[in-house]
Amino acid sequence: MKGRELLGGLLICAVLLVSGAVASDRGPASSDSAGPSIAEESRGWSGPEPLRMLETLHEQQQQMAGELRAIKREIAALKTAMNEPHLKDILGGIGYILGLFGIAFYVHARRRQQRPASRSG
Amino acid sequence: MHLSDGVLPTAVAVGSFAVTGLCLALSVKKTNGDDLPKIAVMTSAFFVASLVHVPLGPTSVHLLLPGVVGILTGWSAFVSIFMGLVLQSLLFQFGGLTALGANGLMMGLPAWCAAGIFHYVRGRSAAMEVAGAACASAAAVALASLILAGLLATGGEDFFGVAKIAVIAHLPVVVIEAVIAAFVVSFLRRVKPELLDAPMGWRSV
Repeated sequence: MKGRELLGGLLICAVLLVSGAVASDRGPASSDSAGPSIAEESRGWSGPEPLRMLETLHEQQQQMAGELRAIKREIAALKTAMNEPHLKDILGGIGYILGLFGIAFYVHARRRQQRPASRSG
Repeated sequence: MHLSDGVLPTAVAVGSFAVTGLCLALSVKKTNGDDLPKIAVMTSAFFVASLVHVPLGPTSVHLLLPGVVGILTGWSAFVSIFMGLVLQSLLFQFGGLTALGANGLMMGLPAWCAAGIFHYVRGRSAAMEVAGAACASAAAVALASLILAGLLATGGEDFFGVAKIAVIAHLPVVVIEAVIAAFVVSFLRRVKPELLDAPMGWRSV
């Protein structure tokens, strides 16, 4: 979108330059009162300088867009990586399971110790 | 195959919690304390199994292992699986906490079913036992898919449509889990057969 707008601006500028050149060709003989001022203005803007500026701006814009896209892709990859379980989670979960069952087993063993006659706990 | 928060209607979620609670109580009551270490190891295996992804075209499905857990732990499978699900939901964000009841039913009942099938073939010839274990494991995954479809049907989904998709998506898992169960049982039969005598009869414990 930005690139297209810039291209439009470039086109308008080119048209202005051409019209300015035409106006300056006509010179002061033109009966149009606005003619000379536009011609002077365009003379001030004429030359390769503004075009080059626009071109560099356009290039920078494209570079930025490319970099932004790369960063967005990286953020998406990071998001998915963050949702994936890590080794920490896996080991922690196994630890929880063994710990909780260990407590249960301990309680079971204590009960059995207190009632040595009962075999089934 | 985990249901997330908000997929099921509230009444179904609450109801499945109630049923899961009853199953948990039965499972705990039938659990023999001496088996706790074995149950703990099976719970860990179930907890980690869901991280083993089976690539399937553009997507992937993961192992479920309700069959193997059921075969090796019998009545205690429900506790084992419920605990694995709780930790998966807390640590891996697999499935929502409010859907825990439904997820427990979806994995726990097939585990009991597999345990029942294996208990039926236990004590017959080696080939029968291995084949029975494979069938039990495959049936467990298929049953889990059907329960998933049934639960989703309560939320207004088309039962047969979801069931077809769920079963087809889990066909590779069915095959792989059947192979795993057959391998585990044939190995344990030779190495430590008493591990396979998980209590599953009504008058056990």
